[in-house]
Amino acid sequence: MMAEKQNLRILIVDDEKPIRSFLRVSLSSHGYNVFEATTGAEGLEKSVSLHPDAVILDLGLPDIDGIEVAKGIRKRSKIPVIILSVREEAADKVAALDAGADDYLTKPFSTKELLARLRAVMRRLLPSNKEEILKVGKVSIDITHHQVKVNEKEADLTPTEYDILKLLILSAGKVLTHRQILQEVWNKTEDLEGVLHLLRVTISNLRSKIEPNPDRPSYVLTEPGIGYRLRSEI
Amino acid sequence: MQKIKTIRNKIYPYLICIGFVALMTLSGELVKGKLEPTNIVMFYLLAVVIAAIRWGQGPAIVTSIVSVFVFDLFLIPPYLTLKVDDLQYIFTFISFLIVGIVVSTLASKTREQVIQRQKEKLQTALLNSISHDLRTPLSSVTGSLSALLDNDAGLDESTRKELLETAFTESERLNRLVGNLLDMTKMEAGALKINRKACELRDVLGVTLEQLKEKIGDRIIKIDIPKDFPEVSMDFLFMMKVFINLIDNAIKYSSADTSIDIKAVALKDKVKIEIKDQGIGLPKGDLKHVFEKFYRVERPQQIMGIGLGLSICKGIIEAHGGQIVAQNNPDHGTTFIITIPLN
Repeated sequence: MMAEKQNLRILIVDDEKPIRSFLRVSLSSHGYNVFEATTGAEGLEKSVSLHPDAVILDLGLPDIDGIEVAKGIRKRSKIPVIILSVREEAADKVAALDAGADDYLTKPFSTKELLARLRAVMRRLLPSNKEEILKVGKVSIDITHHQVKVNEKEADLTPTEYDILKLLILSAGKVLTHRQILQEVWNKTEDLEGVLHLLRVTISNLRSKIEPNPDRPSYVLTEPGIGYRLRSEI
Repeated sequence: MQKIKTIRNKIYPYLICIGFVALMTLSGELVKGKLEPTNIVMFYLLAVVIAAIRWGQGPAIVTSIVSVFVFDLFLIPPYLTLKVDDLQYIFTFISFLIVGIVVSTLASKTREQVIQRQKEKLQTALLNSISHDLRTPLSSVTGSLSALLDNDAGLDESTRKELLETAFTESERLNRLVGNLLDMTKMEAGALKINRKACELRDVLGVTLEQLKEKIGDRIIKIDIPKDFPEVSMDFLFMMKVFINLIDNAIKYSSADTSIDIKAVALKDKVKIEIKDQGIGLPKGDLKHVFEKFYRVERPQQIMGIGLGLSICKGIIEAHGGQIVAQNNPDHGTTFIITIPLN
């Protein structure tokens, strides 16, 4: 186990006992300290009193809707929140992410996927090691020199493609909503169709420059109706 | 288009009934003078009964009323007027109308009962099929897990792994079945919300292939989308479901060493997407029926599924204003062809 993980505290907020118990077993076996809450109110209270490092939150709680719990947690702290839910519509996911959640998993999910998401959202808690060269798979990006290499060969990206790739690599593994990307890259706060089109075209061009097979992207993944995610573990 | 079709379907029975009445009148003309008009009325009654059995009460009543008028006009002197010389014919008319209405009510009730009984029969068959298809993976999950719980110490590592893998893949199958059933229910309740937005087909296919990664394995999937292919207004998630179903089928029904070809072309006001496999093809009579709910092609027994996938595909494509058809290739295998209007 990685040393830094042993102290990490995870709060699970879910009213379903079977879900809590399999999460507890798999998270503890990966070195996390696990705490549980069964209602939204209890979750809100424990998210303060227990000082967790991350919260895994179910949306369908018996007392308060999970989205409200996410908002409540976000009001007071910046701890990562990962949503678990049976709701699979893009609108629900966007609502949860807009409410401040860091990522979203639809039930049923594999623990492997949950652990990957958890690692991705926790990465920003670790002290930044001031690395100027970020790497994912065979793609590396040198922030100081604005240089991108694929398979050790320099890739010729436009400034916008570079900005998007940098943004994706900085939050590798974590979903970025269209809105977040539009704001960071184009400084637009609305999902304007014109800019969204530009985003789609830029992503498509970026894929053709960095993906081994652009028809079947393996780095820059589309999250339908939500945004994009850079696969962090290849 | 759809609307015109349903209106046409509603008007047809009435037109046929009126044709019937005309036919009866012609026959009446032939035997006029040889038979009493009150006996000729029996011809019309036949038309009413047929209308009631075939199309129900509405067309039957219209047939009765039209019959009375035509009968009066052509077969009761003075001809070609609605005047009646002999008052007793008024009784004939009234009793004909009453008999017509009563007979049509009775006949249409019987017809409804027959339809109801067929519906119930179909529903029972569907329920049996659903419960069978849901219980099969569920029993595999329960079976594998209980074997692990009961004999934990007595099982070697590879058996344990095999049982766990069975439980896992079967629960994934169960999840897909439940998803399909939910989609179908939503579709039937009219609660399917298609949220069309401009999408890149290449991207929709990319995510689909990523989701099917494990099943695809080493299989060759050829994608042919021209560079200038336009963005299409469609529901990303639902179109993914369509492609997942079609590609999954193509994988299931063709051998591992053949390729699956996906080709898209843009026409003037629509796009055409073809998914072609080199598999066993569909029996000729099944080409049209594969999109029907719970329809399963009788062959390969070992391939499981409730037969909802293609009818969900059809529902989704039609909600986009498009069409989906299945064709057998001249050599072997099947091609599914989807067209979606550009606006």
